[in-house]
Amino acid sequence: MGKSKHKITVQEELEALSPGLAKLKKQGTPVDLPPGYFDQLSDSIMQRIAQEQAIPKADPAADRQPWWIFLERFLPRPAYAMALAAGLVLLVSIGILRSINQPGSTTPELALSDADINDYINYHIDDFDLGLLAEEASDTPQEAPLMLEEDSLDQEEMDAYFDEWLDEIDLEELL
Amino acid sequence: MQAPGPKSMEDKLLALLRSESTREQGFRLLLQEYQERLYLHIRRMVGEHEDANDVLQNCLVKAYRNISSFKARSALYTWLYRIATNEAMTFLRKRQRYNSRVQAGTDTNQPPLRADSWMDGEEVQQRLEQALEALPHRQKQVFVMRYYDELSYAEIAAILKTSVGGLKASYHHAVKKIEHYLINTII
Repeated sequence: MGKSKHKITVQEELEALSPGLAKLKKQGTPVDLPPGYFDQLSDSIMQRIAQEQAIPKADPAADRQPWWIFLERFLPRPAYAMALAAGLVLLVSIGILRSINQPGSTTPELALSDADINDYINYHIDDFDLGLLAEEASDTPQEAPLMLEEDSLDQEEMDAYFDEWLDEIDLEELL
Repeated sequence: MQAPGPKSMEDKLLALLRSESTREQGFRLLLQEYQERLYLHIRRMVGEHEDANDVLQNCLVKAYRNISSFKARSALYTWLYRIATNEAMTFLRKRQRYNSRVQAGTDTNQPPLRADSWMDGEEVQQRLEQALEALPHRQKQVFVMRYYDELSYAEIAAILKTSVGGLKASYHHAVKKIEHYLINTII
């Protein structure tokens, strides 16, 4: 397209749209510039390019961990990456299953003897609901009774126990 | 879009730019050929000389960095013009974000022009620049390309990757808004 023909088209279009602006366009649009701007521009640009090229680019590999560098090899190969991920998931799953199914895999802290359990219960007897324990014991007669073994107490111990309780009871409160 | 120089000049430039040993020489020649037109295009988009200088330098540095990937599917000047337009638009968006943080709205507290200055004088040109500044980016872009750079709608459409119909509407709106602005700022 010829420049002059195209110019007329733009001008004509503008005259139809806005005669005032068309007149303004004919006057031209002066632009104020610092003196010698274009003479210095190419030197300025080339200087800037030279400066940018002189700055060494940081090596992004320098800060990466070896394990990440190893994994990065798989990134361009999605099939390998998927296989690696599936393998890792399989290994972890096998490890978990083995630890669960291993016989006697209870933790040592839970491997208590009957004596330890009895000592614990006797020491914390006040914390238990005795009614509930009695009910539980009556349901499971074959198991070792958890109830107090009254027969094992001799008469002297029982008398001493009751005397102690009688001393602690405030008779005025009972009236 | 028409390249300012003859076709042989563009061929010569490309030959120089493609070889690393002559790239700087070619780039200096390219600047000599196109810097003024690119500057004027950017200046009309961004307004101030300092801003236009920054945008032009960014544009030219980017062009130098990417010159080896230029495939000559379009004229060299068209390629540069596109980079300049994109850089100017990026600048305008950043400036708009900054301005919206600093102050809300456009500064229209300019004293009105005298009636006898309508259609002549430096003041009217300044008002035209102010009116241009108040336009939405896309309308401003289209107005600059059509009014100042006198590109055809097909050329603008190719650069902005949009339809000719939409461009015509944008140009029409821009012209009407500028006309309205100029009339309203004159007593």
